[in-house]
Amino acid sequence: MRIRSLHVAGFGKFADFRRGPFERPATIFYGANEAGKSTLLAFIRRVLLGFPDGRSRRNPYPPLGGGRHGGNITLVSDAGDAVTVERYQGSGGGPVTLTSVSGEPIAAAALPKLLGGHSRHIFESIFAFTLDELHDEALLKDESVNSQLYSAGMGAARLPHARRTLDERKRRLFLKGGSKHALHIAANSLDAVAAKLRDVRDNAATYGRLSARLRDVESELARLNDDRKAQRGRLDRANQRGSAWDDWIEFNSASAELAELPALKDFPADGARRLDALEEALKTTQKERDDARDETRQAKALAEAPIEHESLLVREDVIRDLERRRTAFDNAVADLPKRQADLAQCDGRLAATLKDLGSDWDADRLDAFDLSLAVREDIAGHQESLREGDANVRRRESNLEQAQAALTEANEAVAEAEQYLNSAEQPAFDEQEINPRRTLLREARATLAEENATRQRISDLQLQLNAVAGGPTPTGANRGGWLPAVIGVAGIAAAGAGMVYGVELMLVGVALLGYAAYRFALGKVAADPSASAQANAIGGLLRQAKTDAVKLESLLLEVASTLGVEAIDDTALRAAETALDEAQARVQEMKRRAADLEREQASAQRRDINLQRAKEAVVAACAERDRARNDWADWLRARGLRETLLPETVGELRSDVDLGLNQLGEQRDLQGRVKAIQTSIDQYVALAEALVSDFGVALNRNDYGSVAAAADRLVDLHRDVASQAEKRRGAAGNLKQAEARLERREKDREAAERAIAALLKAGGAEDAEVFRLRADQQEKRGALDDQRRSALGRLQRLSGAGEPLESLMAELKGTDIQDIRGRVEELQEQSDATAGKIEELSTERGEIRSELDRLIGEEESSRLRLERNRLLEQMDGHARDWAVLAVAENLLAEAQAKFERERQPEVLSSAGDYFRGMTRGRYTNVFSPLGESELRVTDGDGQSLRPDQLSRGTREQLFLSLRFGLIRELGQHSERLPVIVDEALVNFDPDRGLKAAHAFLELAEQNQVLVFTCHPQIVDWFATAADDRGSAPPEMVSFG
Amino acid sequence: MTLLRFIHAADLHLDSPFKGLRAEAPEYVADALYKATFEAYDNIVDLCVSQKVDALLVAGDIYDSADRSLRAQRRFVDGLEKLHASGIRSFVCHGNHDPLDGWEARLAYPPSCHRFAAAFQAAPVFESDPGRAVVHGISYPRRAVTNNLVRRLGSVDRGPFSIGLLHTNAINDRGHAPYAPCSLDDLRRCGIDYWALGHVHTRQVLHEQAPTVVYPGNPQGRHAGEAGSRGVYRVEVDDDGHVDLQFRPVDKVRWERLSVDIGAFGTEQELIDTLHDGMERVADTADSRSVIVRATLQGMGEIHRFLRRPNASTDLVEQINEAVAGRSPFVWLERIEDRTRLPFDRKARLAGADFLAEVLRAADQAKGQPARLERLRDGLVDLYEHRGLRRHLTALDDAELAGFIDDAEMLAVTLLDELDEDTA
Repeated sequence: MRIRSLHVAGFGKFADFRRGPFERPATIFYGANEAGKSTLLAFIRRVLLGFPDGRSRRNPYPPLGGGRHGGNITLVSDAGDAVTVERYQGSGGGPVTLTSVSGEPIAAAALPKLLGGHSRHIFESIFAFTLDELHDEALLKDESVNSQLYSAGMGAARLPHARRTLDERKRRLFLKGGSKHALHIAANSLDAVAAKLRDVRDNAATYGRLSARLRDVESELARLNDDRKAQRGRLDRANQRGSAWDDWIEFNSASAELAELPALKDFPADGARRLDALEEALKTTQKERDDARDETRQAKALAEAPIEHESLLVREDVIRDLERRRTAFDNAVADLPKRQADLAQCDGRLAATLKDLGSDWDADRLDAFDLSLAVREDIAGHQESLREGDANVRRRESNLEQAQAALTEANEAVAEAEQYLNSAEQPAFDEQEINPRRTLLREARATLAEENATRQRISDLQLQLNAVAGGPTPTGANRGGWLPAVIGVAGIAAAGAGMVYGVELMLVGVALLGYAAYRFALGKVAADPSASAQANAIGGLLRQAKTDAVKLESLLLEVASTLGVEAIDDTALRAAETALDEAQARVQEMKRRAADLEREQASAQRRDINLQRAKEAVVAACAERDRARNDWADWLRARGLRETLLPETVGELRSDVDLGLNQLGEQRDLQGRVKAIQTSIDQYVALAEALVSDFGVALNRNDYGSVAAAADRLVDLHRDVASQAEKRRGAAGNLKQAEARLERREKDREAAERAIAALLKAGGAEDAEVFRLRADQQEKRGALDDQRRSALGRLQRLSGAGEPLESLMAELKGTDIQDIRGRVEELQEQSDATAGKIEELSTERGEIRSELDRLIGEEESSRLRLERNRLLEQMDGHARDWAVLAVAENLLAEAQAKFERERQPEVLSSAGDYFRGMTRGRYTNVFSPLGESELRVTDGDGQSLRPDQLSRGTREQLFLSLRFGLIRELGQHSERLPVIVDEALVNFDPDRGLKAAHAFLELAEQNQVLVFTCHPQIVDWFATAADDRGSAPPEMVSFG
Repeated sequence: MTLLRFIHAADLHLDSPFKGLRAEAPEYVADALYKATFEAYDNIVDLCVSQKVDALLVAGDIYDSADRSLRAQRRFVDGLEKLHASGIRSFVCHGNHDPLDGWEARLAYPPSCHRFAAAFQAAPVFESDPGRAVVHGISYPRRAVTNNLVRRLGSVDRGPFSIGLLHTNAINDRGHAPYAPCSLDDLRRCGIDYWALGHVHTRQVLHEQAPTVVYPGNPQGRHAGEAGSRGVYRVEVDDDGHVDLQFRPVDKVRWERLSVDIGAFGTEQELIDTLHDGMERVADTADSRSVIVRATLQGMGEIHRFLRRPNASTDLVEQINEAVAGRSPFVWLERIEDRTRLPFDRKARLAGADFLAEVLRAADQAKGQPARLERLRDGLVDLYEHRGLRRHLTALDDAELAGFIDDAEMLAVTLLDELDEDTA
């Protein structure tokens, strides 16, 4: 699309301002500052894209010079069509009208197509922009632009995320110079484990050193133990001599004293102590004899004392009887009045029961009444027979009533059926007539259909004949004319409706279509002038059809006669069929009613028989019931009971008799009990009376309390007498024992005196004093002898095994105690020194063994080695995971580099060409990093730079190049729009300005270029560039 | 009639730590791991006693000298003492991990134990009947023995039943150092009836009879590469010299691998349930032993997004372990290896013109061009040449690096995918 001309009616400073036509590819609007370049650019934008609404902050450019606010622009599409777009300020962007070059209006919807379908933003950013808008990076954010610039759709949208993820994961595993990554942490742990392992490995050296030391210690200990053993031997021997010294001295001393004491041959051993014991025994026996004499005297006095009422002892059996029965007597006395009262009550209850039974009942009759189980079963049996008899009679009577009712019901049904059959209307036809008449009707209907078809055929043949013969159709339609078409259309409509409303309608449609086809064919045939031969054939068929029609009509008349109607048609046939259906229904009803009558009659007969049987059953049941009643009366009579009693009543009588019998038994028990109590009391009174007079005890036999007191007194008296008698018997026994003891004590005293005399005699002494003197001497000799023998025994033991006692004694004889003690001390010191060394070495040996055991048993090294292996494995795993991440990163980087190098979007590639051209190769490439929405340029050194790292002029050249690339790309798919720039080159140096002018002119070969500028230098650049390119110079439009 | 009955064990590696564990094991698991090699050895000793064997043969690598574990040597000697008390002799040779010049605690071995020196020696199995069976053995004088020791043996006397006790890589196993290498022919030529070998940790019978050549493997697996049952061979020789071999598992803690294809899973819960069921199944079939499981997830599916979240595998491991924590013996998920991929048609995407296609092409170029691979390696030097870390890290070979490219490609695809969970 190109702008051919423009007319500003009123816009800013412009009023009725016209320019154009612009015929050249590039046009330069040259004017000084405030000439209205920006106003014109705004005019073009607003006429083409609409005015901003009242709320917009954009400059409204009111028509300061008058005129209607707006104007028109004449455009020429790429196809060469000229369209004038006219728009004025108004709501919704202002009303717009499009007119063709001939003045015909064009729909406003054509305008967007003329504008390539681009949005306002795209048009204003890419095609019609000012110097300020050249920097507007909002352009890069536009979605449609974005998709052209970056790698959208290339499958790299997640590349930055992927690289970031890989980098983060790598850093977690390993980061050169870092200290918090997993490998570093694991390595530190490994170093710690290795250090501990080294410590533990030193255990092995320790073990070897300690093992060697252990062998040395054990060897030294063996030697010291041998030394100590020898030392102990010598010390023991010296100690032995020391220990023997006192015994040696004692032995010699005792031997010397013994030699000085006289020897008393056969003096009683232990004589002094024995004499003391015998004299003590004599004193004891004398005292015991005196005590026995006193006891004998006292016993004799007790054994001979008199007892009052001693005669009571011979009546002990009576006293025991009184004592034993004493409690029973009290109980009997207390129980007697109670039993007597119970007996009186029992008598009353029995009398009442007999009264209930009847005046003819007494105790004897009660005893005689049979209450056995057999009688109870008899009563139950009669009761059941009577109940069953009554129930049977009631059941039979009920059956009789039912049979009577059933018979009545059956008779009523018979009467009803007979009445229907007698009064019902007879059918129009009998059963035999119905089927022939139905066959006749079917044939008549077929004949009628055939006649109708024949007549239709006649009509059709007549039409064919007319068509073949060139005559008019029966309907007057043209040959092959509108009738088949109308029928065909109707057929199609019916078939279509049939798809919705049902298959029947669809079939009708299909039939109509067929008929239409037939009519069409018929028309075609008729139209054929050579078909006259067919007319004869059709005529033959027509004649035959007419003959058939006559025959069929005749047949129908016959049928009408048979059916009794004037003519056969659908109405007559339907009426005849209805009459036939009614007759058939009536015949069926009559047959059903007759069958009902027969069934009811048979039922009445069966029910009459049942009634007779029911009557007979009632009579039999009554007879059976009467038999049961007679049996029961016989049973009552046999037991003397009234015949009017029912079995239930007899059951109640039996219960009363049972109660009376129980009361009678109770009366008899109580009578016996009272009698037994009285007898017991009388016997006890008699026992007491037999004794009281002899022993002065008072008794009133009618006062049971007096009787009880007398009995108690007799018992106490007997107990006292018995006690005194027992004591006397004991005293007699004691007297005998005392006398025997006195005799034994006297003998003991005499024996003691004899023993003392014998001892004195044995010791050769006349009295005790001499005896004691001699005994002392004898005892001293014995002690010295024991002392000497004991010392000799100890010396014997000290001499040890294998050493003769004589040798020891000879050695002791030749030394003294001081020498011995000095030797012992010397040897003890040697032994203690050796023992100290042994203890010291033993302690060391124990410690070494303990340490060796600890070293051998330690598990820490096992754990450390496992941990070391685990950490190594973990590090290897981390390293390999890291390596995979690094390789993945490398693959992505390789692919990205290649992609960015070879697969940049066409827009960037084209922009790169422009940019490289404008900067004379200072910058070689424009690209977007893969997966990112950013631009980069590559300079001649291969360095990648962001736009904000470029100078203002270079950045403007970059964005201008980018727009060129976009314009070229967009132009390949839609209308090529004019490029309108307002002072876009002011910041370019002459060299790059000239290059930019070249680029504009190159672009102008495809897109119209309109340049607004106030700089003559820019005008010159374009002129020079056009000259360089050998193309026509831009058209100059001056204004302002 | 039985001529001889013995237990053939090797590579006890007492007190050697487990390898390959990345996660910190809970106390009860760690405790079991510390004790596992010892308890496996205890099981061997108990087996000797219960089977009333004549001897225990240990073909080297009883412990790792470098670890200087006193406990290992003490426990080993304790076991031999127990055998001695039961009248069972023991024959021991040393391998590359416990050579004669290695550190030793100089403990007193029981008199019924014969430790072989750095030259072949012959020791009768029965002292009272030296002509019945003889053990010919040799120990490593130092760690790296690279010459063929079998050739030093020459031909043995054909009289008694002869057993060779040797620590050797007889099958050129690439998983083990090529120490004392020899061939099967070498072993067959010298007249030995039974070769009791050690060094290769996977049990295998190289030759069935005349001679019988056997690696029992190590009695306790110590990393995921040593999965399955581990133990010793109970060897019974009849009067005709026919050898009957019976493998007897003695391991205390068993390693197992669990492989799960995520292709069929629609939800994370299905993955969790499958892993849980797998753990239960593994535990139920582990002969009442504690089990450490390493799970590998593979296949293509949407669950890959979930797994690619940071800490997803670690969280999953914790969740599964919490679910099976009550079992005794325990079952413990040590690690989940994620080898899953997004369900995407690489070939079709490679043919596209978008950025992802460029990434895929970059990956292909990296794998196909050595110079490009080297550039990738150069990108890793910051870490792999890091002064403080490099000594702890295993160097990368080209195969590993190529594997990283596959993983990196899938990571990049996931991150570039517009439904990536990080932003979804």
